[in-house]
Amino acid sequence: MTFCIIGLGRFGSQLAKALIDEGFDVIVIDKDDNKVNEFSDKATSALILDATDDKALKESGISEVDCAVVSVGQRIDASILITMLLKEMGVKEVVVKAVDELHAEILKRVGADKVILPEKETAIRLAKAYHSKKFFEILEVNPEYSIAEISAPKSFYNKSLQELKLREKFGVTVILIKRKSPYLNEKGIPEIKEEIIVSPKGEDVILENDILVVLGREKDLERMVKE
Amino acid sequence: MKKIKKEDYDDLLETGQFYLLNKNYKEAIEVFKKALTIKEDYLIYYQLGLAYEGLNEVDKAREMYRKSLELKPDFDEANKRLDELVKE
Repeated sequence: MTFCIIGLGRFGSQLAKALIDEGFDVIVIDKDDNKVNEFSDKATSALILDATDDKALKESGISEVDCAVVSVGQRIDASILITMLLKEMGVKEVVVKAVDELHAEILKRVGADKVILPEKETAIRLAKAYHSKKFFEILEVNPEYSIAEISAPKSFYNKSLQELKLREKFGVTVILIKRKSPYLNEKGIPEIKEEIIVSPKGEDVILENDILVVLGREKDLERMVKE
Repeated sequence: MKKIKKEDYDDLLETGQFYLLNKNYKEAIEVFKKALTIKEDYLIYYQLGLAYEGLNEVDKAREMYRKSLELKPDFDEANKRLDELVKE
């Protein structure tokens, strides 16, 4: 199976490396010659070209690949145009990285076979890794730090933040605690109110079913949830 | 066929609601499910939704609110919860 990776940012280059390691034939394309040169001895072919250039793209011969992955960062217009060109050229499967839901929708409409929202994928990957829904949402602050929304692990129940020592043990800070409490409204029907404790203090106690919004390195967050 | 008295059903509702308000969500779910085997009711589906929400099982909660609204489309409380969860 032959892949073509268009755009060698962090996502694109990591993906290209992973596919090469797996033994696939990989063609890489980027406008930046430095990025392309990194792959010159590893990839099946490494091409310096602007993929929005209709003619150049056609001449590259990538219409023959089985799957093209478009990952051109924040350049929304470029990713849409490249997707259209690839589909016109008859590329069997076009996978595109989107920046948000709206972008994802447009890409689907212009023919993308699969759209990736990386933050979502990270969350899904983590969720799968732990066979549970411990992580609800992950927001990457930078490549190192993330903010995650997690269901409080059982071992945290009825313990104060002081006792848990999350910062000492894992380098993780609890930014807020979300807690849902049922009550009866004026009509006698139960409802749920959501209490939010922002910047909780050491003496604040974690209760069963609390949701915690935490900041830390991804690997530390994973370690904390695993424990 | 065993006849179930209305009192039994009311007891189940009351017990389920007691568990729910005391955050014993798993017990509440068990009782409400039992009540559903006697009669389908929008209020039970709704309260099942609340219990699932308490357990952070959002997908199931949504499903229950939708079922509640199928039986009573103008049920404000269920509409409100569903809106909240869709926003999430």
